[in-house]
Amino acid sequence: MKSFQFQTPDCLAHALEILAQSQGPVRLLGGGTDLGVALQQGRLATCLLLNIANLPELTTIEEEDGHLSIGSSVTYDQLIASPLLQRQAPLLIQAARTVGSPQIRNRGTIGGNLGNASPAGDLIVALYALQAQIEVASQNQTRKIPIVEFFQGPGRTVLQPHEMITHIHLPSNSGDVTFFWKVGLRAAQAIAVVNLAVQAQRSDPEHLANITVAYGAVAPTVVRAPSAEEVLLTQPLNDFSLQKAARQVQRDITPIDDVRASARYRQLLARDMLYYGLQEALEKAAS
Amino acid sequence: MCKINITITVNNVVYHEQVPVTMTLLDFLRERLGLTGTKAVCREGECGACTVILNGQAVNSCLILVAQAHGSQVLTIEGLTGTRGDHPIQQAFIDAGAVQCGYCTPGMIMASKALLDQYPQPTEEQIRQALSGNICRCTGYTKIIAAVEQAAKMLTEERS
Repeated sequence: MKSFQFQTPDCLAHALEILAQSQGPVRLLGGGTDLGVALQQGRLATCLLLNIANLPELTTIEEEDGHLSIGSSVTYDQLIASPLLQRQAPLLIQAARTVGSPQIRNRGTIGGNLGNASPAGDLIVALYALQAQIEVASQNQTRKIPIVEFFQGPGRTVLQPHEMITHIHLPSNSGDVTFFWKVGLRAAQAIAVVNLAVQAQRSDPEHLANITVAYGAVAPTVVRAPSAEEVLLTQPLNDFSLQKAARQVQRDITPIDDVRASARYRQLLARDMLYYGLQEALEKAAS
Repeated sequence: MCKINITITVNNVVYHEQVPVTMTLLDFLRERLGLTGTKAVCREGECGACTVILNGQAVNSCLILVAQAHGSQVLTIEGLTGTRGDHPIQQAFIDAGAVQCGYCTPGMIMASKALLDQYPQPTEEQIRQALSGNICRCTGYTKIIAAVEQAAKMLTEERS
């Protein structure tokens, strides 16, 4: 007979103490929109459920020293409503809008999307493009991990048992050419078939600088597309180079057949999403 | 099974209860309080039939541990009343023909209430967005959207 325990820590330090001293497994409970499903379906092993949803240190969105710091218990709804993020990281908001439903967005958290580590995680894809750093704490130390080093495979991160995500750090001011595009089997409540985030600066009308292209649902983790980025960084922008970049994407992704789509479909879709998405984003930036 | 003591306000009534740690808000409302207006359908946050309003926000009660709702305010379909009989949203659903089997209806109404509390005069697009977490297998959604538009009008008139 499973015997779960539940505890709400008073503050972050208390939570870290519990994590450090716990004998058995501890699962961090934010919005419960992933853990809750696992629990309902009997897929969650007995553990201590540590309720971190309302820890004051984890629910802020701030700008400090030219970068943004988002607490891990900030909900999708709070991300979307944040004037600071609307100005400085609209890409993240675009991604947040595509997740789940209003009910899910009122509860689910950015830390949860990261911790759940889905290869199709919508916020994860945007955070790759934004070159986020994940701040992870244990009782004895904190460390900042570049997001590209944070994931090890589907559902797996580099988090150690006594650690938790506390903040997500982003550079302020996203680029002037950005878009997020999620293709799913329906408009809401969909796990992406392919999702894509692009961010770049326009150094002149024909050239892009600092471009990041990130894909979800086409590899064991979210991935960057360096082959496509290379083309876009080194060649003047025109239809030819956009097509070439889009074709290069297949070098960077390893999609599989699953219940939502075939690998072949994802290959074609990923290619076309970059081409059409960039075309539209460049037009928008020009006007 | 570990238990925990909670205090929770449901439809303006304060309850002090001892609950199993893994009890969902949905089961607490239905089984402990006998408030069966909120429906248990998918139990995985996909269908919205379990929608209630928690601290002013529409949520899937099937995914919330009632222990996490300690100290919170919950509004269920039973808590909706109007100045005369049904709440305007309920009346609008009836008048517009937005109820067939009725199973999605409490969830739809609660999601609509949350929308209208925030946006008293929503566009059709906003209504569709707000109800995107609620599935209906009977109506095809057209009459539901019309009901919300009608409710918005009725509530605006009531206020003035």
